Amino acid sequence: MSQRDADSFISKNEREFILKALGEDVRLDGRRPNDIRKPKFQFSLDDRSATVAQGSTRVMAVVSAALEAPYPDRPSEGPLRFNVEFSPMASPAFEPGKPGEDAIQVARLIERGLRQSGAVDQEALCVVAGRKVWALRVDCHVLDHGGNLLDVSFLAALAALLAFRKPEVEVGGESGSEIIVHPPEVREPVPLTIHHLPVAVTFALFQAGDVLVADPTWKEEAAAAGSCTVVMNPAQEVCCVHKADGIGLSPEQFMRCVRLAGRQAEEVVAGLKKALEGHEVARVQARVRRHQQVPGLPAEGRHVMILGAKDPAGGAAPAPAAASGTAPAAAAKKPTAAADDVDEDADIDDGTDEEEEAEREKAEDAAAAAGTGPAGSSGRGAKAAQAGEDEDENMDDAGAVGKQQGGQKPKAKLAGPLVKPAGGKAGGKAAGTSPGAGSKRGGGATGGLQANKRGKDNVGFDELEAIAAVIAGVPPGGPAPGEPEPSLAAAVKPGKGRKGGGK
Amino acid sequence: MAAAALGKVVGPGDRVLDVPEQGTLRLSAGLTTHDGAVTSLKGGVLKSTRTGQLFLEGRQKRYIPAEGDVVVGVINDKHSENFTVDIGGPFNAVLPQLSFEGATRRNRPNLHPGDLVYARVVTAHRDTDPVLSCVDTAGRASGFGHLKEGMVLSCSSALARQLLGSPTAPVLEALGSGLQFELAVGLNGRVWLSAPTAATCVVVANAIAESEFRTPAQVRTMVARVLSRLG
Repeated sequence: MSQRDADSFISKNEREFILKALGEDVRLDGRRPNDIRKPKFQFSLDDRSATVAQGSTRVMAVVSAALEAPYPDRPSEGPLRFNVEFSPMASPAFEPGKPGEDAIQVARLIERGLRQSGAVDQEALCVVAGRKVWALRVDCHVLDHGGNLLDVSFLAALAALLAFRKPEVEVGGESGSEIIVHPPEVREPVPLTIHHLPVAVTFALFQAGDVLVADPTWKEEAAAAGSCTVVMNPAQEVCCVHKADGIGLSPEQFMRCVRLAGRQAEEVVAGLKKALEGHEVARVQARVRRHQQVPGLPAEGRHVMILGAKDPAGGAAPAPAAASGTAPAAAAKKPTAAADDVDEDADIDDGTDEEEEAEREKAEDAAAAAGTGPAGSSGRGAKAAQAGEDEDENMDDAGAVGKQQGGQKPKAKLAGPLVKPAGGKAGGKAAGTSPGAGSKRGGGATGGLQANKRGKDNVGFDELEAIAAVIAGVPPGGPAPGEPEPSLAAAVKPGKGRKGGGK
Repeated sequence: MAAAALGKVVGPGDRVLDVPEQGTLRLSAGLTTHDGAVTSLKGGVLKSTRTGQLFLEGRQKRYIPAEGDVVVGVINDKHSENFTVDIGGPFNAVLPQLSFEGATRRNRPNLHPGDLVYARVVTAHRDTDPVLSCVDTAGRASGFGHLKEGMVLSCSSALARQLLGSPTAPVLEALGSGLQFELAVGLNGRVWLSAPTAATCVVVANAIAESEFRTPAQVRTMVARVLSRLG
């Protein structure tokens, strides 16, 4: 077993007790010998890190990416490095400083299991072969040591890699060899390509290998005669095996480990997938919420206008996936709030209301039709958003959120032509003004998406003026900006509080 | 005034209460005076001991020894005149070989590294090794000494204090009515348990650990459920 200094030295009594209890098929925390503690996952909203807690063991893994030159012997692969640190807050036995032997051993196992097994596609990290590749670095910090650091660190690294999103990169530009990295506000970042999901399962060995204890706590590890780790994926493929020190295992005993590990791997991966789904929902909702704040806030204030890519009427787009389902739900709430604003300020913007109505009808159709090709009004709105991007951060976020929403159903939204299903319109009307406002924004949003993809070269000067006016809180005067702008102004109502925004 | 502040949750550096002009305030772990006010050195809840000393109780992984504490320690080393004992504090403690009942220079205690002992802290200063003793002030063993067999449960010092306090902690009362076990509680967050079967030990240990944040009523219900399952 790994070295233990005085701080984590267990007494003879405990050692004997653990063996005696195993003789009665009982473990210190009441588990059975083959039970593992159920891992709990927590993901950060900045798409970079994951924390896994299994019992009292907690490990946080953070992924960072940088564009670097590749190794000369692997010109089209992005390097993937793992680093594990045992934080002194995890256990009195850990000292601050460089990672010791144990930490390096854990890092090495994670590397074998995730990189050498081909779980992470390194070729997908290539940007320009031989010149620029994404170099990924995964740092695992052990926050609390309750035993079995190997398994939990491995799982944390895998979860972080699954949750990680790398910025989208475009190679081109005028000279054709420029690399443009788009910030997340401009283009939705992309997940990594992960081929399979390996999971590490460690067994502590007692009684010359006859007794296997899965997912040992630190006392069990200290009392054990040896340990064995098997890394497997739910497809029952053994990715790697770690049998470093302690007593040996016979082939039958080893096959028992493998069988048990296979079963555990399935359960753990199922739990991980479920947690990731939940995180996806939360992630989308967080971005939607962020873009909903009071427009009067300085600099970071985001306009609501280009949100709600889905037609909240819901009729046109059933949205089967739960994840995209909540996004429209969230989007639907915003239009409601915005509609409130609109109603409040009806007395101020009398003249524009009728125009708004008319606009909403049109926008509804545009949005209901999978909101892709925003012709006419929505198109202008899109360009306005696009212009905003150049001009003002506000628009960036609006466009970005549009992108975010568009990202919910990317293919469906972008591919479809502009179609006007009657159902969508009727649905929209039935729901009243709110869906109209929402879908208007939806049109704008996805239009923004399109506009961005086209490039930043079709922004008219008058739209810039209109946007500037909107931001300044002055209703844009004159018909020059075109139809959508008054609606935008009316809908956004900068400087006025939003009711119920963000929920 | 001090009584009013009891149970207050404070952060490090907070002004807990003002030093009264008259009367005495006895401060213990985690409190100090600064600018005429009692300030906290760490985060925690303000409590007072039976003897009236004010101290701050906060959750921490590392135990800080204080005089008069009873602790469960693991013997690390045997020297000619004393044992080195790990009590989970910043320094290993020293337990003189003669601090056992009936121990003389000829008749030394038969303890080896890895053995568990129940001892009391005789002296504890911030920067020195604490000194333990396995006899009480009168020279009798009164429960101290070598602990044989059993298991050790790690818990917070807050729970340990609760288990040692009077009236008897509800979880111990409830468990004691149905199961037979003995325990030695160390304020360093270690509780030694022994029972006829390992399963009973495990049940008791888990019940005690679970009872930390529950009300007495919840504890009683939980223990009743556990006992009924055991049959």
